[in-house]
Amino acid sequence: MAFLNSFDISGYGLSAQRVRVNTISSNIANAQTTRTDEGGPYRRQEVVFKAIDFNTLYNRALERETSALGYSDPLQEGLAGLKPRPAISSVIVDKITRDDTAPKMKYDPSHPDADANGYVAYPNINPVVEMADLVEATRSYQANVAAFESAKNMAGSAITLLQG
Amino acid sequence: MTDIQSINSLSTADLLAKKSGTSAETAQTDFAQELKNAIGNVNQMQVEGEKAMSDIATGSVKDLHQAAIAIDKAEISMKLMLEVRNKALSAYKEITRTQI
Amino acid sequence: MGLSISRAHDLMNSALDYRTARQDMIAGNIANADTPFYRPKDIRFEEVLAQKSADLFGGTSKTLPMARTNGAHLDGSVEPGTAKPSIFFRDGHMARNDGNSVDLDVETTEMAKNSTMYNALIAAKKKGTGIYKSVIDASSKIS
Repeated sequence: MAFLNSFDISGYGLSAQRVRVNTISSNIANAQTTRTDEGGPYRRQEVVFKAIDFNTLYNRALERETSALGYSDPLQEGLAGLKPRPAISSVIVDKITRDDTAPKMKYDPSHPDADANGYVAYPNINPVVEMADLVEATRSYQANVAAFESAKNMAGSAITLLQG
Repeated sequence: MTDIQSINSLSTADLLAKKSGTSAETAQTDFAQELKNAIGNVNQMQVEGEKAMSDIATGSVKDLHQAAIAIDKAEISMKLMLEVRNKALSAYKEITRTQI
Repeated sequence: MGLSISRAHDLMNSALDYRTARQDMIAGNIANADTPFYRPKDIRFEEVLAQKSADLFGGTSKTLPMARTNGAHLDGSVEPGTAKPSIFFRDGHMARNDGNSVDLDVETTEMAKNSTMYNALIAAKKKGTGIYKSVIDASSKIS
């Protein structure tokens, strides 16, 4: 049922964006967390997406029936001739990485988590950056919802062909 | 408004009146000729409706509303002609049923 | 029974198939708006449909014919029925930091255009078959 493809593609996109929003919210909530179960301050998490070949049979049928133009590389990025295969791809969360750079150190000897020198390790989360990411993730989520609505609208109008 | 009026002019009475108005030298009107013209008009509108549909399909349509109007005209002219045909046929059958 | 309503309907059916595929590609682009190293892809089928329309209706397709100095030279025309739609990268601007170059505004615009044309095609098809249905119905009403 290839015509229901579009719903699934947008659905995967919605799930991926939701994981991203959850991760960013967790970062914002833990911006001041100095102790965790595995020791040390909270480490910033980030999601990495991956494009996957969504419906292999459908993509192979598309490849047989269409010709693929190689990338013309208008900005000379060294990618000339790249072929647009697979034709239709959706997105999944490939991994959630942990930021292992050094945490921010603040001098506060009276803090219970202060180390021998009186420094407390805070997670290096910048709330402004996280908020900007959150806004962008929300916008991507809304774009995926719009794609879903559009596909539903098209399927609905095709069904009106059957009526009367 | 000329487009809408041109559909009205499909009725055979109007065509007859127009023909007898322009050809002043003869009061005779050829019914078969008028019928042929009317069918030709309807056919022309069907052809234009098909062209509008193929324009929408290839994406080369200039104005979507012009294409919609052309398809609408095709539909209305066809339905009108069918009704006129039905009436003419039933009138003919009525005549053949008169007792001499 | 091979019922073909009219040549314009065959053309519209092909156009509907291509527009569905295009909707899927644009949905895939939007879903991958944050994937690193992803470039937006699109499908181009206008030439295929123009050629099919020229084949069906016998008109000239709207491309300039190639000038030839000798009649025996090839004239650059494609054999009827061999044009294929092509999938290409619709990309013209610099990729962002993560290598992704999907522009959400362009994608939503393309999607709106595509779904509008799809709905127009469906409505035109409905009207077209309606005309044929009225012909069939009218014959039953002759008293």
